[in-house]
Amino acid sequence: MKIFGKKIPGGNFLLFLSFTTISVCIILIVSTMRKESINSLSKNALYTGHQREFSIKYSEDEKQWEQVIPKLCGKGYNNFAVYAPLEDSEKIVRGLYIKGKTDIPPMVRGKYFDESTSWSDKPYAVLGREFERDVYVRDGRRYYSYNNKEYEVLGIMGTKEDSRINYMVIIDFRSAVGIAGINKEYVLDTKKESDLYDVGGDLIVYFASPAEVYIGLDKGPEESFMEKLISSEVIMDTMQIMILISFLLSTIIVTLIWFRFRRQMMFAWKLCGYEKYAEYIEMAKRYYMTAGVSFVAGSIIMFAIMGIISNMAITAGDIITALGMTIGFGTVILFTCYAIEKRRLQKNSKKY
Amino acid sequence: MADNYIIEIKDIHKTFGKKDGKVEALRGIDIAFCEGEMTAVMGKSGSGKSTLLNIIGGMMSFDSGEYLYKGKEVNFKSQSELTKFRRKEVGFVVQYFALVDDLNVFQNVALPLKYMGVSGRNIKKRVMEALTELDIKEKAKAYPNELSGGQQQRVAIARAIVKNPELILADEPTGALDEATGESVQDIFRELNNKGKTVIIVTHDEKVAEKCDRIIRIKDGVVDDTYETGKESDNKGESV
Repeated sequence: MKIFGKKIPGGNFLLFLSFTTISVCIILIVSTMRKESINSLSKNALYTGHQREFSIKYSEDEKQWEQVIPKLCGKGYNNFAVYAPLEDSEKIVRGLYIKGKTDIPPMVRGKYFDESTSWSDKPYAVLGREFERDVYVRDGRRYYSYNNKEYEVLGIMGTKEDSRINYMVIIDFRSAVGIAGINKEYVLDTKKESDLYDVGGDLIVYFASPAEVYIGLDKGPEESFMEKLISSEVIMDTMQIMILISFLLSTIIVTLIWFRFRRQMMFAWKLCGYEKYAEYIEMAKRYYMTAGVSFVAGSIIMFAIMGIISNMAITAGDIITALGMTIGFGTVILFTCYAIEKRRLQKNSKKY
Repeated sequence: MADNYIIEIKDIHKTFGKKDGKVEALRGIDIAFCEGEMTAVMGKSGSGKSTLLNIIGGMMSFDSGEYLYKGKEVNFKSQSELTKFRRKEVGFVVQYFALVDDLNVFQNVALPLKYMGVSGRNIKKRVMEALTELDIKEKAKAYPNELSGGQQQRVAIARAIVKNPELILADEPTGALDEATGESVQDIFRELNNKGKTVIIVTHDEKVAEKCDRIIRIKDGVVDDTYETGKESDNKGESV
């Protein structure tokens, strides 16, 4: 078969189909996983799910957090957040101190809080997309007014679909404590559940008397292996992985078939005295060319599906992640099959 | 060692398979080829002649023995040295041509030069020279399946000579061709030999062998007989 006057070797069409399917599958899995993570954040209103509420009582020093935060930072924890929820009848408002890598909500634009902006002398806010209309611009900066105070807007977060994140206002921790006072309810959250007990324990120690910290640090009943296994999320994840594995296995078979059509070429390389590196370059060039075209086709198919199914969203990040995974899988398959094929070629070179 | 020996093979053994399926293809073969000689290697199927050719061309290693190329031992334990040897010294022609189906004639002939540090312009010049020499210049853009068997073998020969090797090895080069075409291919090898190339042809065909300077008969992995054919040649070689 010739395309644009160039002969397309046998096996390419099969490989194209196989990689197109793999690409569609990987893009779907990546976007689903990202969406699941967003859904979970949205469902839990940005909490991880293993967060703990705590309260501070009897503190006579409104600035006591000023001593506690530097102490917590000094301990080297790198993945916790302290939320200070505020009473508001119209929206979900929270103060936030964040340290290190915690889950970041989906951002529409701008950035989320980090260690410096969540513990700052300057008031900052990150708004749900429903409040973007209330943002005003002055001197090239974007501001939002809350409780008669002006906050510089770091970013807008939210999802396309209706979600709790869209109705949230997050302000810096100092401002929140300034509004509600120190003696109030808080939420401690950590990326790893085990860190929760360490940070919580330190909070109790660092708040000096007469202040008292009330936090439940008992570990709840642990989910059994069977319970985990039969939970719907695990079943879905397992199904996705099984589908991916079956496509990968079929790609291995298709790659071996693809190599069968290239035995003569490999034999010609051997006759011509090609070095190993030259063989790798030539083989990879041909393989990745087909895989690359397939990935583009797979992406186009996914975008077409996205046009039909309205609640499916694929981002540039999903495509890049999926491309990375496809290249990774493709490379492993290519070199494994190449090694197998070279052994076969050594035994059967007379045929060519 | 005679000064004009290009290849000396001493007591080479080669075995395939393991245990019960063990086949001894070469059983201590001793043979030498002179520079500029055109030799036919003959023998029945399974006699070890193709194995011998593959060893001569550095396509296959052997179990024991010694291989000298221009008086120097070739290190068969080093794959990179063998590859370098094949790339620089040997031009191969095989029965079924080993042309790449999805490359056109020009690209097929250019294959050996691709990773030899030859510039694009020089590749084009050398490929066109080789195609002209083999009289298939007008087929440069054709694909192998658009050519006759004889034309395909000419392309394969052009590919073998494009890097200007000293040694040309042909394994049953006329085996897939009709008699007339086979004869013209044989004439090409003679022309190459007249230009100073050392040519070794493995063949079943007595007519092909008769046109060579010397015939070596292999039987059960050893040299059974070797004699000069008495045909005219500008570079008559010595028999061992």
